[in-house]
Amino acid sequence: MSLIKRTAYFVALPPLILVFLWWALTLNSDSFWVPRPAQMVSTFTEVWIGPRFANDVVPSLLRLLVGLATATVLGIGLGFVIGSSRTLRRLTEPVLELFRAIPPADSGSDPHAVGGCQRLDEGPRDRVRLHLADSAEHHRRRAVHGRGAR
Amino acid sequence: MTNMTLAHPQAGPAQRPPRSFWDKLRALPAGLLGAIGTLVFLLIWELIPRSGLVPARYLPPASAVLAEFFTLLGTATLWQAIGGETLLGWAIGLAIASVAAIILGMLIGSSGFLRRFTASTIEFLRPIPSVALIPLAVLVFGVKLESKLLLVVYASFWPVLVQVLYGGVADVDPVAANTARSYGLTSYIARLRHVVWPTTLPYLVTGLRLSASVALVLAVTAELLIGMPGLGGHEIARAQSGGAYSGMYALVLTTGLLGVLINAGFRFIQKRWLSWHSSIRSEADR
Repeated sequence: MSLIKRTAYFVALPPLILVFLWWALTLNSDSFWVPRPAQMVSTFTEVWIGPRFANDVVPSLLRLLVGLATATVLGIGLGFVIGSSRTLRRLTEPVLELFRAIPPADSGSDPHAVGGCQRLDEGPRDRVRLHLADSAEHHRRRAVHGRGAR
Repeated sequence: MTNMTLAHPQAGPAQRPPRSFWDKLRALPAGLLGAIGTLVFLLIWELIPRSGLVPARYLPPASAVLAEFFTLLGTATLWQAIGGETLLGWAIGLAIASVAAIILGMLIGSSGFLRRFTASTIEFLRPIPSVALIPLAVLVFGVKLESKLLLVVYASFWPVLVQVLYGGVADVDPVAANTARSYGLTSYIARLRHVVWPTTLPYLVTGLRLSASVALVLAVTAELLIGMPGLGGHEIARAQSGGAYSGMYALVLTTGLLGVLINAGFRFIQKRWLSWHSSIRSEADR
C-alpha cells in the first residue's frame, strides 16, 4: 500500500470524521459533560506547553520510567532464574499465580503496607504509583517469560 | 504378572536413585512441589514480621492473616460482598463487553477496508487506562453500579475485540475458505458458522480469559477508588481505615484467590471447547 493511501486510512476516521461529528454535534450545546473540540485543544496546549508539563506530565513519566525499569529488571531476572529450572517453576507456580491475580490497586491503595518506606523518601502517592506500575509490568514479564520457558 | 511388568517397563521409579536434596526435590510430583513452595512462602511471611524486619502492625504474620481469612469465610458479609457486588459487576460488565466485542470484531474483521479504516482509532482508544475514566464515571453515573460497569466494560472490551479482529476473523485459512466454497457453503451465515467461527474460537477464548482477569481487577479497583460496596470498596477500604490490617490482608488474599479461580475456570472452558485444537494438545498459550 502506498504511503498516501496508508496515511489516508490513518487519518480518515479519527480526525476527519469523528472530530467533525464531535464539532458539529457540540456546536449548539453547552453540555457540561461533553466539551467542544476547541476547549479540548486549548486545555491540551495548556497541559503540554506551560508549567503543567513540568509539574504534572514529567513526574508521571518519571514514575512510569522508574516503575517500569524496576519491574523489567526484576521480571527478567526472576523469570530467567525461575524459568530455567523445572523444579523451581513448579515450586513457585501457585504463589506466583496468586500474586498475579491480586488487583494492583488492592495493595496500592493501602498507604501503610507500603508505608514502611513511605516516610523515608518520596511522598506516599509516589510509592503507590510506583508499586502499581511495578507489579503490573512484573506480572506481564513473568507471564511472557513463563510462556517462552515451557 | 510377568506380562504386566513387561507391558509397563517404565512404570517403576526412576532407575537412578535420588542422591542430593535437590535430586529428591526434583523427583516429587508437580502438585506437591507447589504445596511445598506455598508452605515456604508462608513460612517466610510468618518470619518477616515475627523477626521485626517489618513491623507486625504493617505486615501481620501469615498465621494471623490466615486465621482472619478463615473467620471471614464464615461471615455472610464477605459472601454478600463477593457475590452481590464484586462478581455481579464483573459478570455483567464482562458479558456486555464480550458480546459487543465479538459482534464488532466479526463485523470489522470480515472486511479489509473496515479493518484498515478503524485501525488507528482502535489503537488510539485501546491504551487509555480504564482507571483514568474513574472521574468521568463518577461524574456521569455517581456511586452506582453503572460506574463500575463503565470501567469493567471499557477494560475488558479491548482484549476480546483485538483477539477476534486481528487473530481470528482476519486469519481464516484461504484454503479452508476455498474448500468451503467448493463444497457449496456459499451463504454468509454458513461460512461464518463453519469457517470463520472455528478459526476465531481459540483466539476468542484467549481474549475472554484475559478479559475475565482484567474485569476482576477493574471491578475491585473501581470499588476501592470510588468507594462502592463490594470486596474492594467497603471491605478492604474499611479494614484499612479501621487499622484492621490482618483483615485487610485477608481480603487482599481473597481477591487473589478469586482471580486464580476465575483464571482456572476459563482454562477449564478453554480445554473443553478447544479439545480439538492443536494449542490445547500441546499446551501452548501461556
